[in-house]
Amino acid sequence: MSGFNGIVVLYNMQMTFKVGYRYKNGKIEKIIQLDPEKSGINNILNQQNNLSNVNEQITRPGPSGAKLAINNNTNKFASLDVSCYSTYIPPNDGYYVPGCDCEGYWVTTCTFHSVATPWIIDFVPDPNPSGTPSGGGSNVIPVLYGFYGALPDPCNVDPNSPVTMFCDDGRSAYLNEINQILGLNLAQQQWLLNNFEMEAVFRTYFENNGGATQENVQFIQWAVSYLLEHPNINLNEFKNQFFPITTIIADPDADNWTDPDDEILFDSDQTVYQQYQDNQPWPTIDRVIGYEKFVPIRKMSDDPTKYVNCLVLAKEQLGKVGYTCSGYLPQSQTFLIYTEQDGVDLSKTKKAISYLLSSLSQNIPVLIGVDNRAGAPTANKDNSTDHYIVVVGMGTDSKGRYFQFVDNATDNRATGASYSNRLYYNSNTGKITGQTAVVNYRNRAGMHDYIVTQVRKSIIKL
Amino acid sequence: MRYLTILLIILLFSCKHLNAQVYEKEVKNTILNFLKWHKEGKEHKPNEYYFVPRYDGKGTSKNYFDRDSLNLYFNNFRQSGFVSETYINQLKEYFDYYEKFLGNKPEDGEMIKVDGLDQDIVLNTFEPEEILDNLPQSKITKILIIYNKALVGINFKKNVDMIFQLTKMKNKWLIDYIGADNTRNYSLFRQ
Repeated sequence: MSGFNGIVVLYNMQMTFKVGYRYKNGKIEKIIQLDPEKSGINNILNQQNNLSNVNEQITRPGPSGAKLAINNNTNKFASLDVSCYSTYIPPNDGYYVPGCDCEGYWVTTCTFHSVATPWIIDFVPDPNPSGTPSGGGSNVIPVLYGFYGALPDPCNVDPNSPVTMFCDDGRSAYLNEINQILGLNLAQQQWLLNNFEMEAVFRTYFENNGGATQENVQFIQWAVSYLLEHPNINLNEFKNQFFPITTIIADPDADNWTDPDDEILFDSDQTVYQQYQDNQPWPTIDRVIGYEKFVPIRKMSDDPTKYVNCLVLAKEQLGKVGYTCSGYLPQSQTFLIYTEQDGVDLSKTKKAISYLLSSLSQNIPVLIGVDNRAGAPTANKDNSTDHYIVVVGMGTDSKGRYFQFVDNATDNRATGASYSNRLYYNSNTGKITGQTAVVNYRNRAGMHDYIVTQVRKSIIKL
Repeated sequence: MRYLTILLIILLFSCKHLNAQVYEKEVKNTILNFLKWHKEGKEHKPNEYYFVPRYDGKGTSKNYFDRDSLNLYFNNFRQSGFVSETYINQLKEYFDYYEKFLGNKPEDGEMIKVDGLDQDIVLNTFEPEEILDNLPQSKITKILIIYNKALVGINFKKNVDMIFQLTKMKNKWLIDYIGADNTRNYSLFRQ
């Protein structure tokens, strides 16, 4: 969007606000989530509807030749000619601008030539601070826009309408911006142009994951390359798998992910889980922890020949979406469902399945233990649980009903967070078994398929 | 004369009881001090690496933990003064068991879990805090001392019980064996 410093991303015709961004030190940063209760967005609209009030403020011409790109969520795009002006908004006027250390900011208001409704489409920094009120200008930040009213269908506009439509112009402007970050080749740029919905997805990914860091850029570059090479992939499924929308409840800071193993956390879920009945539905729930949030195995800092405990890694994996679990609490928070000595406890298995269904339905991942080899050292022959993993999804395929899991036994995200990490429920035996996609672990001598031994209840990490 | 005999019997009984109490205290101190030593990670010395997989040819029988490196580890236990050579053999058996699952040399630098190296080696659990964080409130549940041998059951918290076997050598109790007491159905070590 040439001439604009902010970025307009319209996902939904009914929305009146969205997220803003700015560029800083090569990163896209989220600036503001306009809260309609706090932002005074209606106040803005009222101002725009009353031009006399606007004129009473300091105004200046907006970016010339500006165009508004519209994604109406139907993959139709248009770029409409608009006329704009910018207005200086002094501080403390009811707008909520977290992190703004400026003494005000500029609002650019644009109006469609053919549409009576005025459109507030962007907050932009003052591109030329000269002549601004004191303190305003150089430190002001680009924020977001809101819009109001019903948008015309950009691809079904009356040809006689004075609205000018350029189906690609808006996209090109966006692409130029994101291409500066990603450095895509021509084929990749063309793919992104043809699949423009992914542009917004990538931007959101940057926003939610700390900006355009090297790792994030590499991940998006991989996604573009992969999608270009696999044109038959369903984009929605791909988005759900790799770019899910999750709510971070706790800060997944590396220093506070884990808890002492013997901690007894309060479980606010006092549900008495009934046994799952085989004729009950088995919903399909896509992964509740994003692919990019995979926690790779690592070695101990004080001894590089030792590995971080898989239970700790699994807890860290839960922590990525704000959950943890208590220590071993077999009579309250741990479902013990299988041991090598006694086999399956069918009643507990079915209760554990009910719990898993309930949790995954609420986007809550669940830590489980598995047995993957026979026997144990002499000091504890009764031991069954050899490894811990995290259940992140479920569904049904040709092999039956399964739970999908993340396996932190590797530092390779492609296998550790693979879609093919699946544990199948056998309703006849009650066993929940399956193979890990971590082939070099799975194929070791003496190893067998994972058998779920226990399910631990997830607790919100406060 | 009759009173003297009774007095002697009482004295003898008291001495024996006193001796048992002293032994019990010595045994418990040895166990708890060893666990404190382990909790502080004293078996790991700076710049010493103990668990080095070796891949000396094709076939899993050629894969093993480097013995020289392991010996450094075992020596640290010997030098602690808490354990006997019998316990060192228990440690050796631990690595003998797990090296069967070492697998082939990882390709392309991929880091993959090595079973046995991501849990507490001494306590055989992924959750050592269940024991090590409960040392002050640990209680002897059963103890049997015969001459120079002691068999001790210790409870650390609900469902967390362990067995220790010790031998008295040169007037000092040394740990021969550390294992799980899985008497309870919900024992931590049964999971």
